Amino acid sequence: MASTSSRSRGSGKQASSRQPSRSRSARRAAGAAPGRPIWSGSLRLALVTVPVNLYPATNSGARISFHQVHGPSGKRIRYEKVVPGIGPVDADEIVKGFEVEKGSYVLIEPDEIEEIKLEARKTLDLVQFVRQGEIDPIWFDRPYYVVADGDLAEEAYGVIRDALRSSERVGLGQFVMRNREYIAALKPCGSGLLLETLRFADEVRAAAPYFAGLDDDGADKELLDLARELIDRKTAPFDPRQFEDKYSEALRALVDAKVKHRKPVEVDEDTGDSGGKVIDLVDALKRSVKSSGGGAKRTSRRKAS
Amino acid sequence: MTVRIAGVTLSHPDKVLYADQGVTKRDLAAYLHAASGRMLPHVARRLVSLVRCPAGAGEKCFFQRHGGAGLTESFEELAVTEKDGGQSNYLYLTGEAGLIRAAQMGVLEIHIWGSQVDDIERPNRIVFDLDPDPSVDFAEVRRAARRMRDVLAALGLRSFPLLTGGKGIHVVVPVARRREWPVVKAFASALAHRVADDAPDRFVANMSKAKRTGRIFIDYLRNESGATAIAPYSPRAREGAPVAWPVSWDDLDEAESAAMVLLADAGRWLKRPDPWRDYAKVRQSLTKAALGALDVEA
Repeated sequence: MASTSSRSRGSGKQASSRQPSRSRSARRAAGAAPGRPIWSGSLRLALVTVPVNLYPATNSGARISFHQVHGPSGKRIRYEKVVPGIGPVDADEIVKGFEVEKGSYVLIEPDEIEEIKLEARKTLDLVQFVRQGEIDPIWFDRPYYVVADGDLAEEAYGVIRDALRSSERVGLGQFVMRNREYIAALKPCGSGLLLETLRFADEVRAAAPYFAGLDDDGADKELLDLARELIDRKTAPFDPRQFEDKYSEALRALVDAKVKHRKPVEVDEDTGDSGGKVIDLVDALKRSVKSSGGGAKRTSRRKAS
Repeated sequence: MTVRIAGVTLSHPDKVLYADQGVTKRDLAAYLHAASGRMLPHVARRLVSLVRCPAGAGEKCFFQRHGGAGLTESFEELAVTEKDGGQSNYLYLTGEAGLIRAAQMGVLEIHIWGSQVDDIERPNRIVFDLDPDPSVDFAEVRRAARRMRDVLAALGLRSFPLLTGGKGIHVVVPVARRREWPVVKAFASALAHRVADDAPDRFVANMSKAKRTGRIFIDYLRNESGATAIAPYSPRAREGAPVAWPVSWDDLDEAESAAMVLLADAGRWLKRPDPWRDYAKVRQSLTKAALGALDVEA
């Protein structure tokens, strides 16, 4: 990589911005302060209120991700919202449409959405408790680490954690995050607390229709014994590291090899049309007319009827 | 007492339509009679929206595009299939008598479609409406019009400036009837956005008022089926009785406002040579190359 133009530096930055997601999770495991919280508010159990911060417990950045680049030009692909027959449109010309029936929509203006937006309720009231394990995993959506916000909060935080731990219960409540309402299940997790968002009742499909055709009368005794023996033999403590994402690993190896042995393709980050305004718009249009007219058949000469 | 002009009987010819100027219905009809030769090539056989002010300018005015209330007898009608699938009758006029009947009906503004009645889906007129924020100086609007002229010229298109009689300037592009509305609109949109993106401190190509402060809105939305623009030589229902007036690019520099020509002295202006005399001779269309230059698909 002899070239040190600003462009290759630019793409180098991208490559390195891929990495920290790994080290970030490593740091989190080591107990260091974990970046920006996704939600800040309070947990409340009757008279006890605890200021807390929420951090995603999952790490989507661990997976390798690519940018889309146009092969022939080496330029980044950009997304543009386009209306057929009109072309690209501005974001603020876009309203939400709810399809009432095929091809027929009711339009909802941003103002109207704004009006019904939920108040940013900053308190998660623990209104109910259930036994640990009582909630079927099908209801769990996303896990977040709950961290006490400030030294003063730690004592009350500890009270809630210890109470949940010793009673073997999970606390339930609702809260608002990014304008959406969530159900939360709060349970002890190591020396802290884990909050898991739950799916709403109408988000989970009933299993019955899928399994309706199945016979539940009991399988053949001999086959059953065989299967159970096999299961017993293969039973071991759960360790997610045992399972490998072979495709991701191969992908990472491929990228690493390319980065090591080859010069990265220089991706032009310029937007193109506002390219520093070196070229006057009039000249730019004249040039494009020439180039797009030159390739095409000269239909422009055809007499319009 | 009645007056007949171009075979049309005016009732209450002395009814005052512009109170401050004392312009009467008879004055309006006389102006339209004098202007009809220049005006009709732009107005005849196009669907129109009419601004009627039966009690005069400044009083209650309303937009009318469909027949009814005496209009059906005064104008021609064309049934148009609406976007929702229904049909409506739209108005148009064919000759001088239509203009005079409009005056008789208290019509103070005539807005025209970009297409003509025999082929309403393919326009032969594209309009860029340069609509300044109130804080923008008219010199800046003139500069904007010349900018549009130059970018259109770069795409091989001649254009003509129209003082709207209000605050802005329309840059009008005559084209052969070749492309249908969606392509024309995509072209107008793409060009307006290119110009605005190139000088975002001067222009916006976006409807929202918030962004308009201190800038000129390049309104390209008149270039779609059903949209209208003020007709050349149409009076405006505004204070001072201004008229939408075509000018040449050279004369544009002399114009101190978009309401330069008032109905009261329009007769004098009409004696000058036609500032758009080449308009009807222009043979040009949205070529593949011009569309391609703006990434618009034909």
